Amino acid sequence: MEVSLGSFITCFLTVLFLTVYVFVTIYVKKDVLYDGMKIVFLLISIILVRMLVPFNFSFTITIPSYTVLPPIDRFLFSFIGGTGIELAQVLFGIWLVVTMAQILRMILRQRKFRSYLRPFRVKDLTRYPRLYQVLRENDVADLPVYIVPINISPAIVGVFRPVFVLPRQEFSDRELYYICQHEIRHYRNHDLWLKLFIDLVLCAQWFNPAAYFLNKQLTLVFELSNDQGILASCSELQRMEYTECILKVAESRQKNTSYYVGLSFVDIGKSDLEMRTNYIVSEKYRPKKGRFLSMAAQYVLMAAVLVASFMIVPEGSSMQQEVEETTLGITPENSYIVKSESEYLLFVDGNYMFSLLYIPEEFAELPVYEEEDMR
Amino acid sequence: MATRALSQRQLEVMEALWNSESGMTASEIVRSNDELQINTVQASLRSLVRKKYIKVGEIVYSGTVLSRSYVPLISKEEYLEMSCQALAKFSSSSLLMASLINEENDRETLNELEKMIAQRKKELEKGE
Repeated sequence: MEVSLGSFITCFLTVLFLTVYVFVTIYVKKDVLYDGMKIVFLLISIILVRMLVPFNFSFTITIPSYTVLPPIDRFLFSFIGGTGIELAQVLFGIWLVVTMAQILRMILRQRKFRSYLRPFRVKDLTRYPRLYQVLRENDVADLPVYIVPINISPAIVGVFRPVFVLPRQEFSDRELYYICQHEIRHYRNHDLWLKLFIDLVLCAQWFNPAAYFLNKQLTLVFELSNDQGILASCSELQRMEYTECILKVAESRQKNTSYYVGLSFVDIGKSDLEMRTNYIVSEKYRPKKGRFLSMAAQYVLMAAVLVASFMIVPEGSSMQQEVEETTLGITPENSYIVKSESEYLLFVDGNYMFSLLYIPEEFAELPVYEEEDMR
Repeated sequence: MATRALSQRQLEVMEALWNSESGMTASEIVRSNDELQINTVQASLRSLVRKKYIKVGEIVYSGTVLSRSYVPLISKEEYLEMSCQALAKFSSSSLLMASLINEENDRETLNELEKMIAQRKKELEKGE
Protein backbone atom coordinates (compact mmCIF):
# COMPACT_ATOMS: atom_id res chain seq x y z
CA MET A 1 0.00 0.00 0.00
CA GLU A 2 1.24 3.49 -0.72
CA VAL A 3 -0.09 7.01 -0.54
CA SER A 4 -0.24 9.15 -3.62
CA LEU A 5 -2.01 12.24 -4.91
CA GLY A 6 -4.11 9.98 -7.12
CA SER A 7 -5.52 7.99 -4.21
CA PHE A 8 -6.60 11.21 -2.47
CA ILE A 9 -8.22 12.34 -5.71
CA THR A 10 -10.08 9.03 -5.99
CA CYS A 11 -11.46 9.39 -2.45
CA PHE A 12 -12.37 13.04 -3.05
CA LEU A 13 -14.21 12.28 -6.29
CA THR A 14 -15.98 9.25 -4.80
CA VAL A 15 -17.35 11.32 -1.93
CA LEU A 16 -18.46 13.94 -4.46
CA PHE A 17 -20.23 11.28 -6.49
CA LEU A 18 -21.96 9.84 -3.41
CA THR A 19 -23.12 13.33 -2.43
CA VAL A 20 -24.70 13.88 -5.84
CA TYR A 21 -26.19 10.38 -5.80
CA VAL A 22 -27.83 10.81 -2.38
CA PHE A 23 -29.10 14.25 -3.38
CA VAL A 24 -30.75 12.82 -6.50
CA THR A 25 -32.17 9.92 -4.48
CA ILE A 26 -33.85 12.24 -1.99
CA TYR A 27 -34.95 15.18 -4.08
CA VAL A 28 -35.36 13.88 -7.62
CA LYS A 29 -35.97 10.14 -7.85
CA LYS A 30 -37.28 9.68 -4.28
CA ASP A 31 -35.96 6.12 -4.23
CA VAL A 32 -35.74 6.32 -0.46
CA LEU A 33 -39.24 4.86 -0.48
CA TYR A 34 -38.07 1.39 -1.44
CA ASP A 35 -36.91 -1.44 0.78
CA GLY A 36 -34.30 -2.17 -1.87
CA MET A 37 -32.43 0.93 -0.73
CA LYS A 38 -31.05 -1.08 2.21
CA ILE A 39 -28.69 -2.85 -0.19
CA VAL A 40 -27.61 0.51 -1.58
CA PHE A 41 -26.91 1.73 1.96
CA LEU A 42 -24.82 -1.38 2.57
CA LEU A 43 -22.75 -0.71 -0.55
CA ILE A 44 -22.38 2.93 0.49
CA SER A 45 -21.10 1.70 3.89
CA ILE A 46 -18.39 -0.34 2.21
CA ILE A 47 -17.45 2.57 -0.03
CA LEU A 48 -17.20 4.80 3.05
CA VAL A 49 -14.83 2.30 4.69
CA ARG A 50 -12.67 2.53 1.56
CA MET A 51 -12.69 6.33 1.85
CA LEU A 52 -11.00 6.03 5.25
CA VAL A 53 -7.76 4.76 3.68
CA PRO A 54 -6.64 7.00 0.79
CA PHE A 55 -3.94 4.52 -0.26
CA ASN A 56 -3.11 2.63 -3.43
CA PHE A 57 -3.20 -1.14 -3.29
CA SER A 58 -1.07 -3.64 -5.18
CA PHE A 59 -3.98 -4.38 -7.55
CA THR A 60 -4.70 -0.71 -8.32
CA ILE A 61 -4.88 0.26 -11.98
CA THR A 62 -3.28 3.61 -12.72
CA ILE A 63 -4.86 5.96 -15.24
CA PRO A 64 -2.00 8.19 -16.47
CA SER A 65 -2.66 11.90 -16.68
CA TYR A 66 -0.28 13.81 -18.96
CA THR A 67 -1.64 17.34 -18.63
CA VAL A 68 -3.60 18.02 -15.42
CA LEU A 69 -1.77 16.06 -12.75
CA PRO A 70 1.94 16.35 -13.76
CA PRO A 71 2.22 20.08 -12.90
CA ILE A 72 0.43 19.44 -9.59
CA ASP A 73 2.77 16.50 -8.95
CA ARG A 74 5.82 18.65 -9.70
CA PHE A 75 4.57 21.34 -7.30
CA LEU A 76 3.71 18.89 -4.52
CA PHE A 77 6.88 16.85 -4.78
CA SER A 78 9.18 19.86 -4.94
CA PHE A 79 11.52 20.38 -2.02
CA ILE A 80 10.81 23.15 0.47
CA GLY A 81 13.60 25.73 0.53
CA GLY A 82 16.95 24.15 1.07
CA THR A 83 15.53 21.25 3.07
CA GLY A 84 15.28 17.71 1.81
CA ILE A 85 11.56 17.68 2.68
CA GLU A 86 8.92 17.52 -0.04
CA LEU A 87 5.81 19.70 0.19
CA ALA A 88 3.71 16.53 -0.21
CA GLN A 89 5.29 15.06 2.91
CA VAL A 90 4.38 18.15 4.92
CA LEU A 91 0.80 18.15 3.60
CA PHE A 92 0.46 14.44 4.30
CA GLY A 93 1.70 15.02 7.84
CA ILE A 94 -0.84 17.82 8.34
CA TRP A 95 -3.62 15.61 6.96
CA LEU A 96 -2.66 12.76 9.28
CA VAL A 97 -2.43 14.96 12.38
CA VAL A 98 -5.75 16.70 11.75
CA THR A 99 -7.47 13.37 10.97
CA MET A 100 -6.20 11.79 14.20
CA ALA A 101 -7.25 14.89 16.14
CA GLN A 102 -10.75 14.75 14.61
CA ILE A 103 -11.12 11.07 15.46
CA LEU A 104 -9.93 11.66 19.01
CA ARG A 105 -12.30 14.60 19.36
CA MET A 106 -15.17 12.43 18.14
CA ILE A 107 -14.38 9.69 20.65
CA LEU A 108 -13.94 12.10 23.56
CA ARG A 109 -17.18 13.92 22.72
CA GLN A 110 -19.10 10.64 22.66
CA ARG A 111 -17.56 9.56 25.98
CA LYS A 112 -18.34 12.91 27.55
CA PHE A 113 -21.97 12.68 26.44
CA ARG A 114 -22.30 9.17 27.87
CA SER A 115 -20.71 10.38 31.14
CA TYR A 116 -23.24 13.17 31.57
CA LEU A 117 -26.06 10.81 30.62
CA ARG A 118 -25.07 8.31 33.29
CA PRO A 119 -27.06 9.61 36.29
CA PHE A 120 -30.31 9.43 34.32
CA ARG A 121 -30.32 5.71 33.73
CA VAL A 122 -33.59 4.01 34.53
CA LYS A 123 -32.59 1.22 36.88
CA ASP A 124 -36.06 -0.27 37.21
CA LEU A 125 -37.95 -0.11 33.94
CA THR A 126 -41.09 -1.56 35.52
CA ARG A 127 -41.61 1.89 37.06
CA TYR A 128 -42.50 2.97 33.53
CA PRO A 129 -45.01 0.23 32.63
CA ARG A 130 -46.10 1.60 29.24
CA LEU A 131 -42.53 2.04 28.07
CA TYR A 132 -41.54 -1.35 29.46
CA GLN A 133 -44.43 -2.99 27.63
CA VAL A 134 -43.50 -1.47 24.25
CA LEU A 135 -39.85 -2.45 24.65
CA ARG A 136 -40.77 -5.97 25.74
CA GLU A 137 -43.13 -6.41 22.79
CA ASN A 138 -40.21 -5.56 20.52
CA ASP A 139 -37.74 -7.83 22.33
CA VAL A 140 -35.51 -4.96 23.41
CA ALA A 141 -36.35 -4.82 27.11
CA ASP A 142 -32.62 -5.28 27.83
CA LEU A 143 -31.72 -2.04 26.04
CA PRO A 144 -30.53 0.46 28.69
CA VAL A 145 -32.94 3.38 28.92
CA TYR A 146 -32.13 6.92 30.04
CA ILE A 147 -34.85 9.49 30.76
CA VAL A 148 -33.50 13.03 30.77
CA PRO A 149 -35.30 16.10 32.19
CA ILE A 150 -34.43 18.34 29.24
CA ASN A 151 -35.95 18.89 25.81
CA ILE A 152 -33.93 16.49 23.73
CA SER A 153 -35.12 14.28 20.95
CA PRO A 154 -35.68 10.58 21.64
CA ALA A 155 -32.66 8.79 20.27
CA ILE A 156 -30.59 5.63 20.08
CA VAL A 157 -27.02 6.47 21.05
CA GLY A 158 -23.87 4.45 20.47
CA VAL A 159 -22.83 1.59 18.24
CA PHE A 160 -21.02 -0.84 20.52
CA ARG A 161 -23.21 -0.34 23.62
CA PRO A 162 -26.37 1.30 22.30
CA VAL A 163 -28.72 3.00 24.73
CA PHE A 164 -32.20 4.49 24.36
CA VAL A 165 -32.61 8.13 25.43
CA LEU A 166 -35.96 9.76 26.06
CA PRO A 167 -36.92 13.21 27.26
CA ARG A 168 -38.95 13.39 30.47
CA GLN A 169 -42.11 14.39 28.67
CA GLU A 170 -45.69 13.15 28.68
CA PHE A 171 -46.45 10.97 25.67
CA SER A 172 -49.68 9.19 24.91
CA ASP A 173 -49.61 5.40 24.40
CA ARG A 174 -49.72 5.87 20.65
CA GLU A 175 -46.94 8.48 20.65
CA LEU A 176 -44.74 6.28 22.84
CA TYR A 177 -45.38 3.41 20.46
CA TYR A 178 -44.35 5.44 17.39
CA ILE A 179 -41.27 6.84 19.10
CA CYS A 180 -40.11 3.42 20.27
CA GLN A 181 -40.83 1.87 16.86
CA HIS A 182 -38.78 4.56 15.15
CA GLU A 183 -35.75 4.17 17.42
CA ILE A 184 -35.93 0.38 17.59
CA ARG A 185 -35.97 0.27 13.81
CA HIS A 186 -32.76 2.34 13.72
CA TYR A 187 -31.29 -0.10 16.23
CA ARG A 188 -32.40 -3.21 14.31
CA ASN A 189 -31.18 -1.84 10.94
CA HIS A 190 -27.76 -1.05 12.44
CA ASP A 191 -28.10 2.46 11.01
CA LEU A 192 -25.56 3.77 13.47
CA TRP A 193 -22.81 1.70 11.84
CA LEU A 194 -23.34 3.67 8.65
CA LYS A 195 -23.38 6.86 10.72
CA LEU A 196 -20.08 5.79 12.30
CA PHE A 197 -18.51 5.23 8.87
CA ILE A 198 -19.64 8.62 7.57
CA ASP A 199 -18.39 10.31 10.75
CA LEU A 200 -14.99 8.65 10.27
CA VAL A 201 -14.95 9.71 6.62
CA LEU A 202 -15.69 13.26 7.79
CA CYS A 203 -12.66 12.99 10.07
CA ALA A 204 -10.48 11.79 7.17
CA GLN A 205 -11.93 14.15 4.55
CA TRP A 206 -12.08 17.23 6.76
CA PHE A 207 -10.84 19.28 3.78
CA ASN A 208 -13.67 18.17 1.46
CA PRO A 209 -16.86 20.31 1.66
CA ALA A 210 -18.81 17.56 -0.12
CA ALA A 211 -18.21 15.26 2.85
CA TYR A 212 -20.13 17.59 5.20
CA PHE A 213 -23.00 17.82 2.75
CA LEU A 214 -22.98 14.03 2.32
CA ASN A 215 -23.16 13.61 6.10
CA LYS A 216 -26.24 15.81 6.33
CA GLN A 217 -27.94 14.14 3.38
CA LEU A 218 -27.25 10.61 4.62
CA THR A 219 -28.69 11.53 8.02
CA LEU A 220 -31.86 12.73 6.29
CA VAL A 221 -31.96 9.56 4.16
CA PHE A 222 -31.86 7.37 7.30
CA GLU A 223 -34.81 9.20 8.76
CA LEU A 224 -36.83 9.17 5.54
CA SER A 225 -36.18 5.48 5.03
CA ASN A 226 -37.00 4.72 8.66
CA ASP A 227 -40.25 6.69 8.52
CA GLN A 228 -41.30 4.88 5.37
CA GLY A 229 -40.48 1.49 6.85
CA ILE A 230 -42.65 2.14 9.91
CA LEU A 231 -45.54 3.58 7.91
CA ALA A 232 -45.54 1.03 5.10
CA SER A 233 -48.50 -0.83 6.57
CA CYS A 234 -50.20 2.15 8.22
CA SER A 235 -53.41 3.88 7.21
CA GLU A 236 -53.47 7.51 6.14
CA LEU A 237 -54.81 8.53 9.55
CA GLN A 238 -52.00 6.68 11.30
CA ARG A 239 -49.51 8.47 9.04
CA MET A 240 -50.94 11.78 10.25
CA GLU A 241 -50.73 10.64 13.89
CA TYR A 242 -47.10 9.68 13.36
CA THR A 243 -46.32 13.07 11.83
CA GLU A 244 -48.08 14.82 14.71
CA CYS A 245 -45.87 12.87 17.10
CA ILE A 246 -42.73 14.01 15.27
CA LEU A 247 -43.96 17.61 15.28
CA LYS A 248 -44.71 17.41 18.99
CA VAL A 249 -41.12 16.37 19.70
CA ALA A 250 -39.83 19.04 17.30
CA GLU A 251 -41.95 21.67 19.03
CA SER A 252 -40.34 20.90 22.37
CA ARG A 253 -36.97 21.60 20.79
CA GLN A 254 -37.88 24.65 18.76
CA LYS A 255 -35.79 27.76 18.66
CA ASN A 256 -37.43 31.14 19.20
CA THR A 257 -36.00 32.73 16.09
CA SER A 258 -35.84 31.55 12.53
CA TYR A 259 -32.36 30.44 11.60
CA TYR A 260 -32.67 28.70 8.28
CA VAL A 261 -32.46 30.71 5.06
CA GLY A 262 -32.09 28.83 1.83
CA LEU A 263 -32.95 28.78 -1.86
CA SER A 264 -36.20 27.19 -2.87
CA PHE A 265 -35.51 24.95 -5.84
CA VAL A 266 -37.45 21.70 -6.03
CA ASP A 267 -37.43 20.78 -2.36
CA ILE A 268 -33.90 21.89 -1.60
CA GLY A 269 -33.90 24.63 1.00
CA LYS A 270 -36.58 22.96 3.08
CA SER A 271 -35.57 21.71 6.49
CA ASP A 272 -35.25 17.99 7.16
CA LEU A 273 -38.52 18.11 9.10
CA GLU A 274 -40.37 19.60 6.12
CA MET A 275 -38.89 16.94 3.82
CA ARG A 276 -39.94 14.18 6.20
CA THR A 277 -43.44 15.60 6.49
CA ASN A 278 -43.74 15.84 2.71
CA TYR A 279 -42.59 12.26 2.31
CA ILE A 280 -45.16 11.07 4.81
CA VAL A 281 -48.10 13.23 3.79
CA SER A 282 -47.80 14.11 0.13
CA GLU A 283 -49.22 11.85 -2.58
CA LYS A 284 -46.28 12.43 -4.94
CA TYR A 285 -43.94 10.74 -2.46
CA ARG A 286 -45.71 7.40 -2.44
CA PRO A 287 -43.98 4.16 -3.53
CA LYS A 288 -44.40 3.41 -7.20
CA LYS A 289 -44.57 -0.01 -8.75
CA GLY A 290 -42.28 -1.43 -11.41
CA ARG A 291 -39.07 0.08 -10.12
CA PHE A 292 -37.22 -3.22 -10.12
CA LEU A 293 -35.05 -2.30 -13.10
CA SER A 294 -34.28 1.10 -11.61
CA MET A 295 -33.20 -0.48 -8.31
CA ALA A 296 -31.13 -3.11 -10.14
CA ALA A 297 -29.41 -0.32 -12.08
CA GLN A 298 -28.60 1.40 -8.79
CA TYR A 299 -27.08 -1.77 -7.36
CA VAL A 300 -24.89 -2.11 -10.45
CA LEU A 301 -23.91 1.56 -10.28
CA MET A 302 -22.97 1.38 -6.59
CA ALA A 303 -21.05 -1.87 -7.10
CA ALA A 304 -19.16 -0.24 -9.99
CA VAL A 305 -18.32 2.79 -7.83
CA LEU A 306 -17.16 0.45 -5.08
CA VAL A 307 -14.86 -1.48 -7.41
CA ALA A 308 -13.60 1.70 -9.09
CA SER A 309 -12.80 3.34 -5.77
CA PHE A 310 -10.50 0.42 -4.90
CA MET A 311 -9.07 -0.29 -8.32
CA ILE A 312 -8.71 2.93 -10.31
CA VAL A 313 -6.40 5.79 -9.42
CA PRO A 314 -5.37 8.71 -11.64
CA GLU A 315 -1.68 9.55 -11.48
CA GLY A 316 0.44 12.16 -13.19
CA SER A 317 2.72 10.61 -15.80
CA SER A 318 6.32 11.88 -15.80
CA MET A 319 6.85 11.04 -19.51
CA GLN A 320 6.05 14.10 -21.62
CA GLN A 321 4.24 13.57 -24.88
CA GLU A 322 6.96 15.06 -27.07
CA VAL A 323 9.50 12.81 -25.40
CA GLU A 324 7.27 9.82 -26.13
CA GLU A 325 7.09 10.82 -29.77
CA THR A 326 10.86 11.16 -30.16
CA THR A 327 12.03 8.06 -28.34
CA LEU A 328 12.45 4.70 -29.99
CA GLY A 329 12.18 1.26 -28.63
CA ILE A 330 14.91 -1.12 -29.89
CA THR A 331 13.46 -4.58 -30.32
CA PRO A 332 14.32 -7.64 -32.42
CA GLU A 333 11.21 -6.83 -34.50
CA ASN A 334 12.29 -3.35 -35.61
CA SER A 335 16.10 -3.44 -35.33
CA TYR A 336 19.08 -5.36 -36.61
CA ILE A 337 22.87 -5.19 -36.59
CA VAL A 338 25.10 -5.32 -39.64
CA LYS A 339 28.58 -6.69 -39.08
CA SER A 340 31.19 -4.89 -41.16
CA GLU A 341 34.94 -5.43 -41.17
CA SER A 342 35.78 -3.59 -37.96
CA GLU A 343 32.53 -2.64 -36.35
CA TYR A 344 28.85 -3.33 -35.90
CA LEU A 345 26.22 -1.00 -37.36
CA LEU A 346 22.84 -0.64 -35.64
CA PHE A 347 19.73 -0.09 -37.77
CA VAL A 348 16.28 0.77 -36.29
CA ASP A 349 13.21 0.80 -38.51
CA GLY A 350 15.55 0.58 -41.47
CA ASN A 351 17.49 3.69 -40.46
CA TYR A 352 21.15 3.70 -39.48
CA MET A 353 21.54 4.80 -35.88
CA PHE A 354 25.13 4.39 -34.78
CA SER A 355 28.10 2.02 -34.83
CA LEU A 356 29.41 -0.22 -32.06
CA LEU A 357 32.77 -1.85 -31.49
CA TYR A 358 31.10 -4.87 -29.97
CA ILE A 359 27.57 -6.12 -29.42
CA PRO A 360 26.51 -5.27 -25.84
CA GLU A 361 24.39 -7.68 -23.81
CA GLU A 362 21.27 -5.49 -24.25
CA PHE A 363 21.39 -6.08 -28.02
CA ALA A 364 22.28 -9.76 -27.81
CA GLU A 365 18.85 -10.75 -29.16
CA LEU A 366 18.95 -8.50 -32.20
CA PRO A 367 19.51 -10.30 -35.54
CA VAL A 368 23.04 -9.90 -36.94
CA TYR A 369 23.70 -9.83 -40.67
CA GLU A 370 26.95 -9.86 -42.62
CA GLU A 371 27.64 -6.82 -44.71
CA GLU A 372 27.83 -8.92 -47.86
CA ASP A 373 24.32 -10.24 -47.21
CA MET A 374 22.88 -6.71 -47.06
CA ARG A 375 24.28 -5.63 -50.47
CA MET B 1 -16.38 24.24 41.65
CA ALA B 2 -16.88 20.71 40.34
CA THR B 3 -17.78 20.57 36.64
CA ARG B 4 -16.32 17.36 35.21
CA ALA B 5 -18.45 14.32 34.53
CA LEU B 6 -18.09 11.29 36.78
CA SER B 7 -17.20 7.73 35.83
CA GLN B 8 -19.57 4.89 36.69
CA ARG B 9 -17.72 3.97 39.89
CA GLN B 10 -17.33 7.59 40.96
CA LEU B 11 -21.05 8.07 40.47
CA GLU B 12 -21.81 5.03 42.61
CA VAL B 13 -19.56 6.38 45.36
CA MET B 14 -21.29 9.75 45.16
CA GLU B 15 -24.71 8.03 45.28
CA ALA B 16 -23.67 6.37 48.53
CA LEU B 17 -22.51 9.71 49.99
CA TRP B 18 -25.68 11.51 48.83
CA ASN B 19 -27.86 8.85 50.42
CA SER B 20 -26.07 9.16 53.74
CA GLU B 21 -26.97 11.80 56.28
CA SER B 22 -23.38 12.13 57.46
CA GLY B 23 -19.91 11.54 56.07
CA MET B 24 -18.80 8.01 55.19
CA THR B 25 -15.48 6.21 55.27
CA ALA B 26 -14.23 4.09 52.38
CA SER B 27 -15.16 0.85 54.12
CA GLU B 28 -18.68 2.14 54.88
CA ILE B 29 -19.12 3.02 51.21
CA VAL B 30 -18.02 -0.50 50.19
CA ARG B 31 -20.50 -2.01 52.64
CA SER B 32 -23.34 0.08 51.20
CA ASN B 33 -22.93 -1.32 47.67
CA ASP B 34 -22.09 -4.97 46.82
CA GLU B 35 -20.60 -4.02 43.48
CA LEU B 36 -17.89 -1.79 44.95
CA GLN B 37 -14.41 -3.00 45.90
CA ILE B 38 -12.24 -1.19 48.45
CA ASN B 39 -9.42 -0.41 46.01
CA THR B 40 -11.85 1.03 43.49
CA VAL B 41 -13.56 3.11 46.15
CA GLN B 42 -10.29 4.51 47.45
CA ALA B 43 -9.14 5.42 43.92
CA SER B 44 -12.52 7.02 43.25
CA LEU B 45 -12.38 8.99 46.50
CA ARG B 46 -8.94 10.37 45.63
CA SER B 47 -10.18 11.39 42.22
CA LEU B 48 -13.36 12.95 43.62
CA VAL B 49 -11.35 15.03 46.08
CA ARG B 50 -9.19 16.25 43.18
CA LYS B 51 -12.29 17.09 41.14
CA LYS B 52 -13.70 18.94 44.19
CA TYR B 53 -16.81 16.79 44.43
CA ILE B 54 -16.04 15.75 48.00
CA LYS B 55 -13.84 16.81 50.85
CA VAL B 56 -12.35 15.04 53.81
CA GLY B 57 -14.66 15.28 56.80
CA GLU B 58 -14.00 14.02 60.29
CA ILE B 59 -11.48 11.39 61.28
CA VAL B 60 -13.49 8.52 62.74
CA TYR B 61 -12.83 5.19 64.35
CA SER B 62 -13.66 2.35 61.96
CA GLY B 63 -13.28 -0.78 64.05
CA THR B 64 -9.82 -0.42 65.55
CA VAL B 65 -8.41 1.98 62.97
CA LEU B 66 -8.74 5.66 62.36
CA SER B 67 -10.23 6.48 58.98
CA ARG B 68 -11.07 9.58 57.05
CA SER B 69 -14.70 10.18 56.31
CA TYR B 70 -15.80 12.04 53.24
CA VAL B 71 -18.65 14.46 52.66
CA PRO B 72 -20.01 15.69 49.35
CA LEU B 73 -19.37 19.28 48.28
CA ILE B 74 -22.07 19.18 45.63
CA SER B 75 -25.62 17.90 46.11
CA LYS B 76 -27.25 15.34 43.86
CA GLU B 77 -29.64 17.96 42.52
CA GLU B 78 -26.75 20.26 41.65
CA TYR B 79 -24.95 17.44 39.84
CA LEU B 80 -28.08 16.48 37.89
CA GLU B 81 -28.65 20.12 36.96
CA MET B 82 -25.05 20.44 35.80
CA SER B 83 -25.39 17.24 33.75
CA CYS B 84 -28.59 18.50 32.13
CA GLN B 85 -26.94 21.76 31.16
CA ALA B 86 -23.99 19.89 29.70
CA LEU B 87 -26.24 17.48 27.77
CA ALA B 88 -28.25 20.37 26.31
CA LYS B 89 -25.10 21.71 24.64
CA PHE B 90 -24.53 18.58 22.55
CA SER B 91 -26.06 18.44 19.08
CA SER B 92 -27.15 15.14 17.58
CA SER B 93 -25.07 15.77 14.45
CA SER B 94 -21.87 15.75 16.49
CA LEU B 95 -22.66 12.44 18.20
CA LEU B 96 -23.07 8.83 17.16
CA MET B 97 -26.81 8.84 17.61
CA ALA B 98 -30.00 8.36 15.62
CA SER B 99 -32.53 10.93 16.81
CA LEU B 100 -36.20 11.23 16.04
CA ILE B 101 -35.52 14.93 15.34
CA ASN B 102 -32.04 16.01 14.25
CA GLU B 103 -32.36 19.75 14.06
CA GLU B 104 -34.11 22.63 15.69
CA ASN B 105 -36.91 24.24 13.75
CA ASP B 106 -38.39 27.71 13.93
CA ARG B 107 -41.92 28.39 15.17
CA GLU B 108 -43.15 29.48 11.75
CA THR B 109 -42.16 26.19 10.08
CA LEU B 110 -43.73 24.15 12.85
CA ASN B 111 -46.97 26.14 12.67
CA GLU B 112 -47.21 25.61 8.92
CA LEU B 113 -46.59 21.89 9.21
CA GLU B 114 -49.08 21.50 12.06
CA LYS B 115 -51.69 23.35 10.03
CA MET B 116 -51.03 21.10 7.05
CA ILE B 117 -51.40 17.96 9.14
CA ALA B 118 -54.54 19.20 10.89
CA GLN B 119 -56.09 20.03 7.51
CA ARG B 120 -55.22 16.63 6.09
CA LYS B 121 -56.60 14.86 9.17
CA LYS B 122 -59.86 16.75 8.81
CA GLU B 123 -60.12 15.69 5.17
CA LEU B 124 -59.46 12.06 6.05
CA GLU B 125 -61.96 12.06 8.91
CA LYS B 126 -64.59 13.62 6.64
CA GLY B 127 -63.87 10.99 4.01
CA GLU B 128 -64.44 8.20 6.54
